[in-house]
Amino acid sequence: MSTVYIYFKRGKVLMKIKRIPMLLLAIVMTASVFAGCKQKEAEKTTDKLDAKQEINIVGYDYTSLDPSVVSDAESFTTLNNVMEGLMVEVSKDGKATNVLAGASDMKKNADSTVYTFTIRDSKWSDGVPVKAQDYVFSWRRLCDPATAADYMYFLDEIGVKNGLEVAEGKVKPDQLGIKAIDDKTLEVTLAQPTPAFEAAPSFKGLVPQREDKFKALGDQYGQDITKMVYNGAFTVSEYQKGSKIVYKKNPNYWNAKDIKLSQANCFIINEPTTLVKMFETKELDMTGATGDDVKKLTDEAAKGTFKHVTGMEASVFYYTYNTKSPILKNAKVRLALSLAYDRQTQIDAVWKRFVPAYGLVPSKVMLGTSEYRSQVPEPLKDVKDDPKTLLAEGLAELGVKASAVKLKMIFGPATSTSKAQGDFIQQQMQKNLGIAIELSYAVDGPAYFKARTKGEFDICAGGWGADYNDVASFFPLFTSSNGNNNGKYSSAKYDELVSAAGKEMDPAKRVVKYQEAEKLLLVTDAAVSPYFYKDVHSFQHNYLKGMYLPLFGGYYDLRGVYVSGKE
Amino acid sequence: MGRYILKRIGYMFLTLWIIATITFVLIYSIPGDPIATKARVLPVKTMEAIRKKYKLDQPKYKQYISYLGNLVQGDMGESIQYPGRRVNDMIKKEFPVSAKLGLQAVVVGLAVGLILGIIAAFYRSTWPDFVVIFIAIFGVSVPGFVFAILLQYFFGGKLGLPTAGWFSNSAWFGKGFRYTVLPTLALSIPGIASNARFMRTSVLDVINQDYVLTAKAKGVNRVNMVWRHIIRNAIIPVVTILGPRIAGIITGTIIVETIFGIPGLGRELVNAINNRDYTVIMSLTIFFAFLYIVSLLLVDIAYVLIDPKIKLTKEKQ
Repeated sequence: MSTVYIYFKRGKVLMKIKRIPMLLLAIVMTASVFAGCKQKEAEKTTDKLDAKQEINIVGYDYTSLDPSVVSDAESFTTLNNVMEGLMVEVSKDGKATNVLAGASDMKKNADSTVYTFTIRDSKWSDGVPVKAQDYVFSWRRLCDPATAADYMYFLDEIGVKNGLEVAEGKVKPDQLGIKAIDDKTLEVTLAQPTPAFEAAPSFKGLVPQREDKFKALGDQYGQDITKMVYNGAFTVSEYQKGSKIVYKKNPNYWNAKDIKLSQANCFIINEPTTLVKMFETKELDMTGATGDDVKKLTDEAAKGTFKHVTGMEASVFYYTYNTKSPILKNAKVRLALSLAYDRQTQIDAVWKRFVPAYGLVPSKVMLGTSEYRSQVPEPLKDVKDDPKTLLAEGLAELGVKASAVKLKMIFGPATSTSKAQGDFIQQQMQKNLGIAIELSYAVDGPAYFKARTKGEFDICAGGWGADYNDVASFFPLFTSSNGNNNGKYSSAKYDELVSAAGKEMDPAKRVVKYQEAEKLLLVTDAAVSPYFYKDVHSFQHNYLKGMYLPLFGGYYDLRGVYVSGKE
Repeated sequence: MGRYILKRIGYMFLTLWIIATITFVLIYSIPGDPIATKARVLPVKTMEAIRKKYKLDQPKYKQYISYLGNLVQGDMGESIQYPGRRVNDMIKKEFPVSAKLGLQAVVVGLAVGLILGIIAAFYRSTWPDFVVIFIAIFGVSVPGFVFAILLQYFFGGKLGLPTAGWFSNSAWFGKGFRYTVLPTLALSIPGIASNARFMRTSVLDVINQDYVLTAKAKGVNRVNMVWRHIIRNAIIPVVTILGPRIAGIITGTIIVETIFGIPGLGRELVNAINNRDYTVIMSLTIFFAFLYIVSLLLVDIAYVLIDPKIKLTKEKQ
């Protein structure tokens, strides 16, 4: 604007206008200096946007667009980008936190049993406003036994009133502790104070759903992309199963003005080596990697050819000991096994990535306003007992000799990594403890899971990834009644600690309970032996900016993505 | 001829029923069911609810009968892994992809194989012959997926050929054609190899016949001789192996579709097996069996058209 003035007038007006740009320039320059300093996570927002804001990345077949029935990361990835719940996960100060999204405000009552959300003014992709009733309909569907959802018990897990009773069919879904006071006000009632609840609203099973669409589409609900409606930043504009999924910017999204990406073409290809090849030829703008490709791409990225983004996953992998088997029913024997192998050596020999684990909870998982791991050191790190002595004591209590011990260890299908892992453990146990391990590889994944569930093993390997950002999503795994507690570990004290911690709103008291429970689980009772936390390696071309890899719920979040420097 | 075809169709239904039964028994004997394929064990009540929804809680014979009942009416069932997706739709969308790819591979395999075989026969014991024999042995011994990966490695992303992926909404021979090049090559190599070998032997046989000598004496030129006299006679063995060839293509598409990321029926079947998606496995197996049987029938009919001396039925002399 000032330029125009300078054209028309000279003299007095010139003088006046000239000063303002100078001041503006000074302000802008100072601001950009400070902006430049805080570059750690945010990309430079002064990047010039390319004309074509379109990216090509890997895609995944989703099982359904119906948020109530899905449980796999592939479906969550799609839901992450086309639907939006009360909150979404973003990265702030290096932590994965929830910020308000579908809700513009959240209040709770004095004893944290009633939460009131104000629903933001926003629209579905067909122009219909998003209402509180859409959330009510969705949450009721999730725990309704008629839906037969994998996450049927989720609302009970996060403490919503009657979540358990509805799932068990004891009361009707309309008794669930959620109510629409009016179109813009949502009220959630909890059975008791539950600290984990505040981490839950970004979970993809809790996004709003349109009852009218559900009734109209019948069994095509969640399958027909043209008839579904979306309230997220993008819509599914094209889907060819097994081939391609295309996301296009949703013009009706409430924050559409901040969404820079106009289209994402996601190619559904399963072969990791193919993906790496396509990344190198720039047919893909981003890829992950496995095995030797990780090192190859990391070295290449160090030269600046493209970016290497690393992070952690919210998952832990561990050996489960069958606490009901004749030898492993003794806790000292279990602890001896847990201490008898070196975790870093195992990583170097088998996977060449991941982070050694000496505790149950990975970093980045929160308790209150800070990470659990920064408040509680990993318990196995402090244990100084000698495994051989422990084993001898344990076996003496059982009345068994070391040479007579033969433990059956089961794995999934035999691949080069699973074989390497089996061989490593077998060797370590023989060398350090003098006991024999018999290795058994299942014919495929489902056969392995079945054997594991039935307890047909002494030792098995597995992992657990959390659904929401609170430690409460890890600890209940090993309570007596949990179906995923494959080793059948049963401790009344552990159950009691976990249950009490689940209701404790004071973070200082809560962390003490979990600390005690973790020590009981991993050291005193040594029911499981954690061995690594999963890390994330993503390789992105330099022109792809703003990609967010969420800690929970899906593989990527496209909301902040833009292209700069490709052309 | 008509009665013959009817008889064959009758046998087809019998065969399909036997295949359906055997597949049913085999699948249900593999440990794990669709609900247990998930790594995360669901609460008992949830699993019961899901089982009930898909009628997996009913005794096996009831599931068998209800499945067959639906099949006879043309309903191939609903996928358990992908709720709401019907197998009929899967086939409608994905079979054309696999079929076109397979057909293209058969055509390329035939065309190139026949030419190579003829060249080898005409230039017997000289270097073109040795080259063709080498190609033939190589093509038959090296597994199909090795070719697929090698092609992808060396040619992916170059010469405008995509490394993987498929096209939508455009003509096969239009913009989308380049996506079909590498997969077709990978699929057709075993066909080229075996067709070349059989054709070579067969042509050598025919060349030595009297009527070829007569034609040569009459002054028929090379091309005409090959086209009018030699091919029709030499092609019989190649047509014979066309049947098993088609079976090879059907199984080959499974690997090629996975490596090149092609949304076809072969890849669908592999996924279904991994997920223990019973309805999809059963229906696709029967569908593939049906395809194979029909192609064998068509091949037999083609025999008669090519060589009237061949009679498919025993007739009174």
